[in-house]
Amino acid sequence: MSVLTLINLENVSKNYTMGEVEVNALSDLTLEIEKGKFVVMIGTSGTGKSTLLNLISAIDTPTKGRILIEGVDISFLTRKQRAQFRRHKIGFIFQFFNLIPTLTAVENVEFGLALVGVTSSPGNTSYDTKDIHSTALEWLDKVGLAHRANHFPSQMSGGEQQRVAIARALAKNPPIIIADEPTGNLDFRTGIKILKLMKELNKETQKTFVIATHNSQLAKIADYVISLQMGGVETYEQIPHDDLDKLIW
Amino acid sequence: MNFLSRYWRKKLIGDIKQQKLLFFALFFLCIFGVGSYVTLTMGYTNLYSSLDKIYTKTNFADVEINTHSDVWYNISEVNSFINNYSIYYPELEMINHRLLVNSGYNSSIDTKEYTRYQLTEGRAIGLNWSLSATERVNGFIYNEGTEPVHQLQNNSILLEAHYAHVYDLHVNDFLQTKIYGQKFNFTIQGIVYNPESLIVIPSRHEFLPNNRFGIIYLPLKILHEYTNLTGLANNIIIRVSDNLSIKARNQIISDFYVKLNDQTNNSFTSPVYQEFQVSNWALNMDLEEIQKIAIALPVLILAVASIAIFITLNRQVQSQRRIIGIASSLGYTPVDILLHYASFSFILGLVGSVIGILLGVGLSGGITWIYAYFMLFPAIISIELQLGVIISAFIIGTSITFISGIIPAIKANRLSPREALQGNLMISKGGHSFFERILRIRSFRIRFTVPIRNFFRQKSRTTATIIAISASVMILVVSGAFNDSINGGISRQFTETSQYHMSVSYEGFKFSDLGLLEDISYISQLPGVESVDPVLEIPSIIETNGRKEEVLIMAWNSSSPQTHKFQWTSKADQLIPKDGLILTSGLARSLGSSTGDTVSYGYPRIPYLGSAYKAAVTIWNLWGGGDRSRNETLEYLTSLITQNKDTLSFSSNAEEINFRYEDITVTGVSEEIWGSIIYTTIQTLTDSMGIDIFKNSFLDIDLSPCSKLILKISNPNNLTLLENIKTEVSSLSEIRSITFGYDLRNSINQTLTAFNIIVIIFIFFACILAGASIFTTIHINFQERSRESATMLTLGLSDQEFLFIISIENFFQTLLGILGGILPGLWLADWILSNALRVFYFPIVVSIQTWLIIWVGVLLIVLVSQIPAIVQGVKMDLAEVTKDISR
Ligand SMILES: Nc1ncnc2c1ncn2[C@@H]1O[C@H](COP(=O)(O)OP(=O)(O)O)[C@@H](O)[C@H]1O
Ligand SMILES: [Mg+2]
Repeated sequence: MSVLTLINLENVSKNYTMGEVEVNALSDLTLEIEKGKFVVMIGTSGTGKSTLLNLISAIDTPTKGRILIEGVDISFLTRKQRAQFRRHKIGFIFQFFNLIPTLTAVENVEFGLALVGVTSSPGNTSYDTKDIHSTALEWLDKVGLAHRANHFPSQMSGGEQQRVAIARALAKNPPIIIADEPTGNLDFRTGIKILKLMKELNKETQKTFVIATHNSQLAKIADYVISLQMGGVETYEQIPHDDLDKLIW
Repeated sequence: MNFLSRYWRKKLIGDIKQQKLLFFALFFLCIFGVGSYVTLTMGYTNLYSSLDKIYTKTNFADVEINTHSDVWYNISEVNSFINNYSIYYPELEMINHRLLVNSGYNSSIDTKEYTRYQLTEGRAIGLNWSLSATERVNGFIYNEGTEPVHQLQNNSILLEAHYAHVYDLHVNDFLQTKIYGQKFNFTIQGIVYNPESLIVIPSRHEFLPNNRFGIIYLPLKILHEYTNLTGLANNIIIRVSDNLSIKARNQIISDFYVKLNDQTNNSFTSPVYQEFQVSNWALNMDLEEIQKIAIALPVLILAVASIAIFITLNRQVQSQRRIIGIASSLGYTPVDILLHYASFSFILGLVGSVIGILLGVGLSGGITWIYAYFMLFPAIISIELQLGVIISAFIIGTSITFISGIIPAIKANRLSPREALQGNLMISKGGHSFFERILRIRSFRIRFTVPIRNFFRQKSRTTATIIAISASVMILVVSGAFNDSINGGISRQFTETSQYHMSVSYEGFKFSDLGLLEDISYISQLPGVESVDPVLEIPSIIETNGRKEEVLIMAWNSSSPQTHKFQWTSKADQLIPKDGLILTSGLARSLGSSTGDTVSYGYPRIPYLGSAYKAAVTIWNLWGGGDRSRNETLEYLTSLITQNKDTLSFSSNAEEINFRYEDITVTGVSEEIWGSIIYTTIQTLTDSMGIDIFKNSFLDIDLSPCSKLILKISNPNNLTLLENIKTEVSSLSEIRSITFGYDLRNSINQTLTAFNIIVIIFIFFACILAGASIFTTIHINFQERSRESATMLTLGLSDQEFLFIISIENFFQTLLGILGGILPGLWLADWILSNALRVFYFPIVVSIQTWLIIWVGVLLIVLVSQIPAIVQGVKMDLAEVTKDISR
């Protein structure tokens, strides 16, 4: 395990039991993800991408094996500890955006921020509503939605909603951003824009992005690709394709 | 069950399984609604029919006509009048003459400390023993012993069962009795129930059942001998033909009454019809109360149930749009779909009603039994399965649930496949909350913003929940107000207002200079006696503004009695020694009078004090107020009063009895629980009656009458002291009974036990209602918001923080629910208390403790009943739910 390793999976298996049938979603998976990487996980439907993301983000626990995040084993955390872990370590971007419908754009970002507070300098965390509000506005500005701050999700387009979701994920300042099919519910152009935004933010913030998609074309934009197949896993590093507009899916 | 295809049947079962808890809560509401209806309705119907049976079996009098107090009629004279009269009115089927005589009893009772004797008041009833059971009006049900074949053995009596129960008396025991100053030791030959005392209430002015009031029955002949009233009676009881309408009955009786009074110089007071006979009237009041509750409670519960079912099914149709779409695009007909959703509520209604009916049938027997047990009813309790109630419960239960389920089902039926299939993400609309807009608040802490916005997000659902909570709070407020108003009123009456510890009744009237003052000074010097107030109690009639009320006048010997503290209701209130009258607040309310008004009060001129008046006038005329010594005059007066009493009081040669009316000013209104008592001074009464003609003569003889002495004791908790005083007082002549305030309080407390049980049942229902409705709402809210909830939890919200957000929202709902239930609850309580209980008056009060219990209790119930829904909610599969687009 190198110093740069952020996520480390050792012989991880995940089985689901549905009644009497046992479904083997992941078996004996071992891989490492380095800090700051833009990781794309590809694989056809049912290969276990979502399962893997759920394990990394402590939404679910593995049946076998160890998952180390920043060197800490999260496989055996309690329910409460897992919530704490997600709160501080993971930023989520969902396929269906999942904004809180009763909160405005800026409040949705505030909701994330309020969980961890605003850290201006190490050891100096503020939960002040004003600080949270101004930080949330800054993030909305970063995703280009300052003018939409007081709109409710129902008043925004899908792309806009996903931008808010991105702002909400990043505002918390977690080391890992998890995105499961983030463009799956968007049209082509909008999807590209969202990916561009994520790439930019990855560069700017140096946070690790792990994105799952069934579209193998998207692998081109990754620093690191995890390709899940029915038989096993294949991982490789690459120089990412920068001109996103040329992508087709 | 062929109307649903296999697929829908399976899905239906699946839906129910999936929402076990919710379904269970709806069931619960349905069962309780139907169950409470059946329980209460069958309960009171059973009680009614039990009473009917008792009344039929015992030939309960349709009407009763009494003479004025201290007036008797000659049985043979009245009988010949009746015989002539009933030739024209064969509807008067049975007429019995009875002699009712005040009496006293001395029986032992085991208390915690020791066995002691209680000298209580009662009534001896002489009746024609030669009548067969079928000829006797107001017959008996034997609790112990059997109907004596011919005559009661000498010195034997029948004893009314309530008294026998309190003092644990049985057949062949002795009963120490005092009738007209003579002591008797009767043998109890039977313990009986009599229809006129199923609840023993001695008079209209004593509203509380008094199980210590002993009633004995003995042959008229024997009572005649004991009382020197041979040939006389004072009570006529009549049964009319069964097929007579109430109107016809009243017509015949009032005609009879007028003619009877013509014959007897107005000796009789107005007829008392069966429904106003005190015991029967009190029973009916109870039953009416139960009947009212039997309607109100199920209506409240079923209304909440139907709202809950509507909300649930509506939500289900919403969330199953896609399934509906798929099904209809596959070719299932709208009827299939309609049937599917309708059958959901149909099953609820069907099973809920059946279980509710079974439960209700079981419990109704219990209610009948409990009531009969507390009221000490004879064993004839009729518990019947009433098909009508069962059928109506079934129809009500199934139709209410079915109707509330059919609207969402119709909606589902109308959904076009295209609409239904629209798989697009449904995002519920967001908006600023009412509070934020009103108060213009920005930047709440986000954990407050979420619940505040959720509040009233589904307006109709939030409203329904608030209504449900309000309904529960209403029930709680009514229960609390009942409890506080009645308990508080009684306790205030007996501690702050009536400050007496012992009350001593004379057998008749006692006049100041003819022994009363001696008695008072004797009692006053007994150790422990703090003060003695003589009181005169006489029935009267108050008239004002065209309203007329029968009342009891309590006259004190002074304007400021030592043992009674008036609770003035206005600053102008005061007792003026002469020509003043104090109304109790309930009476002031029913008369529409207040301090400063003039009312007129009437009293029967002759009967009460006629003998003394007549004696005084006779002597005055004889001696012209002079010549004789005081002592001689007093002696002569005493003998004349006794003589006059005999000659004056028998109808044929009595002076005509007229009501005298006097105008009098209301000088105060005192807040007390009695609804038919007025206070004045003895002086005021004797002045208007004119019996103080010796007052300003040189003999200066005071003939102020009194019927009761009220004692204040320095250390009322010392029972030994009380017993000693009692022993001393009972040695005086003409004492009928001595009651301890302590015993009165005890018997009141006993009576209230039954009442408290009802209150507890009420509270139980209210809690269930609040709990089930909150559970349903939260459960549905969860289903609807599971996606956002899952998102919050995924983002790292802890379970506690999540609980907090949900609780805040429910807290606000509950707050509004409580606020909404308070006023209607108070109004309902006031309405029930002031309408149902005419004889006494309780202003509605709710104590701080009760408010606290209501607020904290309801909040607690709500917070607890949200837990099962929340536990189910937080256990959801975050990965699944954050992706599920149908939510
Ligand atoms: N909650 C679950 N219960 C049972 N099986 C599941 C569950 N989640 C996923 N699976 C199964 O695990 C396998 C991997 O699923 P998933 O991780 O969702 O794949 P992907 O996201 O790559 O499409 C599939 O066969 C799927 O059916
Ligand atoms: Mg997936």
